[in-house]
Amino acid sequence: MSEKTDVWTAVEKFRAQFSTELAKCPVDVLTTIEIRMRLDVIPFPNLLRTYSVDAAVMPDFSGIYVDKRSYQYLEGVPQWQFNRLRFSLAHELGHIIMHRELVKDVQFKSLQDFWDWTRRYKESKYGLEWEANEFGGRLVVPRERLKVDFDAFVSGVKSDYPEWWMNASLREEIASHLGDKYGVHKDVVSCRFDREELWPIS
Amino acid sequence: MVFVVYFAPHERERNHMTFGQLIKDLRIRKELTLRRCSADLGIDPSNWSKMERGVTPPPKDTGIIQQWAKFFGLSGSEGENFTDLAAIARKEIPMDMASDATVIAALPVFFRAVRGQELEGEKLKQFIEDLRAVHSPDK
Repeated sequence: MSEKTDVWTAVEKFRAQFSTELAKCPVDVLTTIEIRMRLDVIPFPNLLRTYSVDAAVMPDFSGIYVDKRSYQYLEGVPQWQFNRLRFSLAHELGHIIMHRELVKDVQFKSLQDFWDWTRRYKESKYGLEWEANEFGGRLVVPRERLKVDFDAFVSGVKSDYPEWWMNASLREEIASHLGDKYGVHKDVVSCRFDREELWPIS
Repeated sequence: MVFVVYFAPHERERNHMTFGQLIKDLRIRKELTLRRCSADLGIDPSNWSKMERGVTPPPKDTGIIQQWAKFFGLSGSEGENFTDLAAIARKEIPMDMASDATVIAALPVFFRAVRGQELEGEKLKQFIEDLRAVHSPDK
């Protein structure tokens, strides 16, 4: 498994490659995938409802299955669902960028083959999923921008709350506020506070 | 760690494209995502995706094909090529998703199971049937 700094390097190289869309706030993951990378986005009915997954990358990395409803009605679905899809797509991009080599020779001859692969994959699953999550998190919540927002938050609260870092409600509030800004769930922002070592350990 | 560079097809390559490849290229040239393009054309995004991937043939109605050509700003020989490719695509035999081999080749390798739900047993069987539908022409 890579160190988090290896993942960060991969994210920033990727961001530099597709700087126009990835500099937007929220980050425009869909345009990056569909227009710049020319990947297929394949609407998959009930992917979220039936399998609790809203995106999954194809084995040859030519495309990503997406939950049809979340994708088709982006403007109509609740904001949380749109945000969730954004993060999931960023997570799948992590697999595409970081794990392509791992599966380049994988060809399933039978369902048993696929099943065996998923068993073996499972052994390293948490490492791979961790990397994809770290990639996705940093991609949709860029460090530099988060640092600016975080410093502004600290400046605004430190006189009233001298030990602001001990205050769970404040953390919840700012994570929620920035979650809206970055188009992700507040837990993603909260996680970035720790991963980027912005929030002091209390 | 691997970085992948994605290239747009060269102009002359468009002459050797299938209809599906062409409509994908035209859509991307217009900077439209699949959902935006299908919404603008009043088409279900799954159907458009299937046409791009050569799973479903384009409609027989030449009026619709011409409307799409106009949407993509095609005229003259480009418009004719578009109509011709649509006609050819209608005669092609769609990819056979009846065989397990084709379905297996489309299985996602990194399937993030959440809430402790793993893709196995009956769930895997159901997923394969759903996957088959995603890669099959509409009935």
